[in-house]
Amino acid sequence: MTTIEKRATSDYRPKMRPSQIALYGFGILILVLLGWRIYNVVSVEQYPIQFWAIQSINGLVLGSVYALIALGYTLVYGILFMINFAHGEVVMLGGFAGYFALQLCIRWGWVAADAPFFQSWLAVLFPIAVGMIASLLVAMALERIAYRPLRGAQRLIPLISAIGASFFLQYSALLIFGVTPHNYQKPAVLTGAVSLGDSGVFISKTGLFIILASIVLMLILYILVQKTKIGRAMRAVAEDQEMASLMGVDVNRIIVFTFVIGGLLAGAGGVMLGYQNTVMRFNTGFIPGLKAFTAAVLGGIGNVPGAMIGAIILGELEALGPSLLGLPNEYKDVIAFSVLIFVLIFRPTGILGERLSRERA
Amino acid sequence: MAESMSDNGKNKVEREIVLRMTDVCTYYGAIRALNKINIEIRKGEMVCLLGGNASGKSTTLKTILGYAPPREGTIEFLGTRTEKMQTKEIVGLGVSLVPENRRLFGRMSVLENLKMGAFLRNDDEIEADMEHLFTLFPRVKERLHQTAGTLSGGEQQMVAMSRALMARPKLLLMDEPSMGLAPIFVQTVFDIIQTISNEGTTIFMVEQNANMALSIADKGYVLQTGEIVLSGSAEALRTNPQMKKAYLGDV
Repeated sequence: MTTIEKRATSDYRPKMRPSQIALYGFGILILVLLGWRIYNVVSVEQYPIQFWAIQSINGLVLGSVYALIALGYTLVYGILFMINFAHGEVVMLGGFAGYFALQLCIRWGWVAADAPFFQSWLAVLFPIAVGMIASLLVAMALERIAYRPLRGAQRLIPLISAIGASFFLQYSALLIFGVTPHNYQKPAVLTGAVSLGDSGVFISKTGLFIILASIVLMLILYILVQKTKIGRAMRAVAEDQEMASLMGVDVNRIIVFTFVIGGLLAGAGGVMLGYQNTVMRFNTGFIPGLKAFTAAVLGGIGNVPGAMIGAIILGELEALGPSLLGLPNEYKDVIAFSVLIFVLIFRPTGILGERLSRERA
Repeated sequence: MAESMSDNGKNKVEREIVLRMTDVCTYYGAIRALNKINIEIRKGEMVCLLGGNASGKSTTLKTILGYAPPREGTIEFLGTRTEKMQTKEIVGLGVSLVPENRRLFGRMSVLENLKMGAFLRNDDEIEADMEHLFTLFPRVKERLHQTAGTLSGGEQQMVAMSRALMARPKLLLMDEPSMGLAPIFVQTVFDIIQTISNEGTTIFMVEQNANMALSIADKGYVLQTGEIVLSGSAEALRTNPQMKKAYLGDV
């Protein structure tokens, strides 16, 4: 009797293998070492609290941009179970389109410091709109040319196609726009900073705008996915394509629509990257694209709130991590991608993902 | 055949034909899954398709829905030839499926599942239809805002049936409605199917539980390795000696 019971429980909760125990022990050891290092650095360096506040705000700005990009990864994964590795290039091309729209605005005198308030805002919003439309078109073309013919193929094949498309777009941009960086000029309303009371903490107007605009865009996305008929159809296709088509949903249209939304958000993200970093190059989208992918994995790929949470966490880690660990700021990429490796090893489903990776793999 | 009186007392002889399959053959690669199937369903009828495992019951439904298009033969739905149509077009004509194992959208609420059922509708009677369904399925109303994946098997079956009915189907296909349900629920589900039928919905039901199915159906077909070996009114099938021996057990 007891043996049967034992066997039954061991079926449900298999014992950890020794290699797994070693792995988790290793993970905990690293966490402890990191904690120790952070404690030492923070107690020695004695940065003022304002420093940490400003760094966290920077992290929030960075995280907002990542979130916009990460949503594109996660939405497409939720429906097609493929990683669109060319998404970073969609971001970059949106950024370039925004740059040229901004040049038009400069010619019209909207960017100048003495431009009227309304024109100045137009100079902010017009490039974003143009970038969004350009990215939408690129994303649609990608789906049509690089992914649709491969639908139903093994999972690895569209992935390879995506990487190929990524290189194609990146080096096309290199040939068309050249290696020299294209400089974004900030319209008057985005220059300067807002200080929060007399605490000594301030936030650049560009950063504030990026945070607020991202929140607005994500709210619109939330309403679209959760409250509208087409959003419901999207979720239905993500869950069970065959059943959704039996309800009369045109699965192809939903897939295109998903790429359209991902492209729109990526375009907005690209132009915001331009305003934030003030430069746009052929490879500007690559690293942010990988970071956003990391954020999507961190939050649980396929999960919309997960992508937002993962992006904010990653942005904060990048902004605070180097200072906390007493490392030069250049180490922020190392920190971000270490997070990716750690998540993949210890929690491949991410923060909010529950059953995705195994059930759907 | 004694077709004048059925269990429901419905007079169906003069009604229009909803679905007519003529000499339909469906292949999976080189394997012939259906061989010269002839099925006729008239408006308001409840027709059941019986048969053991791998007899081709589910394939018949897939063929009707365009998932496994027939290689030979014709399918006519309300006068339209559908054998070469795509699934979404066939669904658009008014065919609805209650699939095997329910297959609800498990992460959506029950209400959203019902709204998915009405996806192709744009009229303003959706709310009214939903209210009507709640009278048939009071349980569904109780669970309306719950996540569909958390319901019990019987409740999920009711939601699956409601979802299919929300499309106002001209033909309701049901794949093994009793499968995997607690015995106490099986009777309830069949009672509800009977009620839906009495309200005028045309039903084509695939079922292994021959006793139950024949007790409420008007007409039945029996499939064996892809061929129809027996057909007739439910009454005739119930008393058929061959049928008794093979599917019903000696009653």
